[in-house]
Amino acid sequence: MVGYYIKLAWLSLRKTPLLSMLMIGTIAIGIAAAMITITVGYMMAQDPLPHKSDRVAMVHLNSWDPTQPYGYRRNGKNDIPSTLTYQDAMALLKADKADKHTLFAQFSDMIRTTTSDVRDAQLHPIRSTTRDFFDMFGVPFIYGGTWSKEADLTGEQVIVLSKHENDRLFDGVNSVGKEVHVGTLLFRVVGVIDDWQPTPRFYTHRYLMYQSTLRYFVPLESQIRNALFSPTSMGFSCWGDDPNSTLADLLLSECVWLHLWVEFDSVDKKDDYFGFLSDYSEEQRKVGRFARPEPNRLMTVPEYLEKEGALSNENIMGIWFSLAFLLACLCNVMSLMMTKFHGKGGEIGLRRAVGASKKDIIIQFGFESIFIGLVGGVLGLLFAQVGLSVLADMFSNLHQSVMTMDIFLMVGTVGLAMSTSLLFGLWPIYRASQIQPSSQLKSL
Amino acid sequence: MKDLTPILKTLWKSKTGPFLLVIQIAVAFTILINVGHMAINKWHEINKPSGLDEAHLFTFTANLPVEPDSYQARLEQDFADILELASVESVNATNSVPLTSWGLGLALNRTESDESYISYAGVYSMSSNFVETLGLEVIMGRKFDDAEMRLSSDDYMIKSTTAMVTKALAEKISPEDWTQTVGKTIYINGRPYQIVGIVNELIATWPAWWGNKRSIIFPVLTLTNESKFMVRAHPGQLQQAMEEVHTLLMRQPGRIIDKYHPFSHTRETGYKPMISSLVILIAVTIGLMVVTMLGTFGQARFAILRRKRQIGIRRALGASKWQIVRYYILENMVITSFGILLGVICAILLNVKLMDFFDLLSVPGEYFLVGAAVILVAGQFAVIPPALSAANISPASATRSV
Repeated sequence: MVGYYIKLAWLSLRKTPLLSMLMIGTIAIGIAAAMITITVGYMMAQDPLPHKSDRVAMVHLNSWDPTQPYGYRRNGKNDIPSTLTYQDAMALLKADKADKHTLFAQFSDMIRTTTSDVRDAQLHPIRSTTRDFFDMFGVPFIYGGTWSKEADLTGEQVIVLSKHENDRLFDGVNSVGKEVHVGTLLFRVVGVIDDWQPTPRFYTHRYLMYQSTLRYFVPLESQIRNALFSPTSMGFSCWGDDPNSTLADLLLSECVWLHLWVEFDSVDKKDDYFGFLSDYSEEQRKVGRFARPEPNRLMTVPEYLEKEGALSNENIMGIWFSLAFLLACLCNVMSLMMTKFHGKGGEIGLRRAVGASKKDIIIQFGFESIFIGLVGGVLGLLFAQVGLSVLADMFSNLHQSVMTMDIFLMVGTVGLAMSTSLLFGLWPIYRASQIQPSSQLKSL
Repeated sequence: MKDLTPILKTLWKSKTGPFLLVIQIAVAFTILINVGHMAINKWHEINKPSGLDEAHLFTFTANLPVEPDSYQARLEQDFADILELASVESVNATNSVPLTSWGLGLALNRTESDESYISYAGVYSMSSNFVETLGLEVIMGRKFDDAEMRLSSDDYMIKSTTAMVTKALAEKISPEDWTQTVGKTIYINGRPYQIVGIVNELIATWPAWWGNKRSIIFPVLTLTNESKFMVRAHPGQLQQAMEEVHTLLMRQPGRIIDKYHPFSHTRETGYKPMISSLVILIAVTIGLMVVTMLGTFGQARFAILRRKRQIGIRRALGASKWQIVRYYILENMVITSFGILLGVICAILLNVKLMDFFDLLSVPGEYFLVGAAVILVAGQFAVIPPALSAANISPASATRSV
């Protein structure tokens, strides 16, 4: 029976090719527009750390200038810094109250292998962090692994490379144990990570969230011991009159520049940790720091993404615009269906007269609308892929992964096309089923 | 106009088709008005003058490969060496390069207290010669004299006593008459600065900030191990200057040079996201117009298919072709007008919502007029071909089966 209805639908589409093409094309365009914006929005708003995003939190301490707030949040309230001073970061790290700690900053330096010429060195941004970075953020290793606890404490000169850089420098072989030059210093490779791009790159500032991950990782302590400092590319904010033109100055200053993330084995420990943070700032208050009224924050990944506005208003608006656009397209398809079914009055009359019930007519045209939706959806999927690749090309500042549909979205696209096509076909179908056989047969 | 009553009656009798068209037009109108408004705003943003002599500028970051004590000497030597090149007109160092989205913004106040907030401003702190290097136009007051300019290594907060502002910022400082700004004192973080001069334009470093015409310049350059250089080449010698400066600087052992770009590249990269979203806005607008026209076209054809006989009878009873065409044109206008009316209401509602979200201005009235005219004309384009073919139906064939 299903096969018969599909055949009928196919014949019916063949009979009025222009009208069918219009209907399918309109659905395809509307679906493509909606799916492009939804894909970008959906990919931007994904949970970048599934299974533990509520157990991983960022520490924000209010160590800022007593005379004025750090800034303003979008709701107009006073904001506090989302990065820490060196002294606070170190104090929290030493206290070791959470199960895992990741502290990070960055600098840039010239990188080359020991066998290559000085002139072949390339300037790269380098992530300076602690050993838990990889485990906490779920970074996969191909070779080796993270550095030791001692490396974090003693500032051992060890480095983790990305797959991309390992391919470039060492032709993709296991490079663990080999050495690279970072500026004038030698760093020993301890690990190579696989391609890794969390979307959004939740652990950093909003304006960096959709950019590529860095390709080199070294212990923060090795940056500090060697006074590696790139003030024109590293973000830091200062207040007061402390000098801050060298890394040594920065370590002693009230400038904020270090990101601290902590992980808990269970969600319950979060409140305890916040209590610890409050105690810490209370202690600091006694020695004259932390004079501002706004409370500290311990933000889980979703909370931080929300605060930073990872999915911007423009994206949300884009989704609404394209859904409205889809609505306009569907209205259009609906009136085309009215036209189409009206033209088939004679056929309906004939079928009814030879014994088809209203239900049969409804099923027949139901199949036809779903069929139109299916073809339109598949075509829309193609359009959307083209549109996304054009977008990926235009927004080359964003990472590609934002512009890629996963299988769930692809199935969703076709499903959306079929269901909306059926939904907007309901009224025309109902109208068609109401046609009286007698009135139509007369004029045949 | 005597057609109007039968048109309204016919529309009322079979409501679904026209109703769908009204919704389509309303949606199209709503989006058209708001997207059009945003697109034109973006267009203006992208084409804002930067105030720089962009065609002859290039910029880069370079380290000072010496001990901190020698930063100043090294930088001054670098300046002197670069200036000796015949292709170079002028050079300076800055805390941030315009349109690179990397820099400092500060709040300006009228008094020491932050209750008297004036405005946020993009901050430039640069070495001497910046007026010449950037090609700025000083329209009031004076530029900094050499005695004011300082290279300092212990400064982050800008410890000068004077500042220059852009005209747009001057208009914020003295809303009644910006020409009175020179000589006034403003406060940043409780520290006073006297304004000594006004430049016509100098764009702040963030292309996407709507207030980026407001910049303030301090006569101080903070020395660190890295400096951002801006170099102005003699006309026609940009390429040559870029090569010569690079070779010159690389002679110093341990030198690292990064982000070596002509300013045209900086502008292009800075505005790329905005240009991309402008293209998308335009694509949405065009797509929407096409779909609406297709809808109108389909609707008109439908109406004619259904009323073949009616047209035949009217023709047989003596209606001219023009009268038939006129009927459909008028019918389309009636439907479109309802759509526009509904669209105007939705567009205003949406605009209010958008104004909450963004710092968008309300859509000016003429957008509604232009939008309505565009939709009406587009509707007519869609309806005239089927109306003409309807008028060409011969009375005999249309009424044969009656």
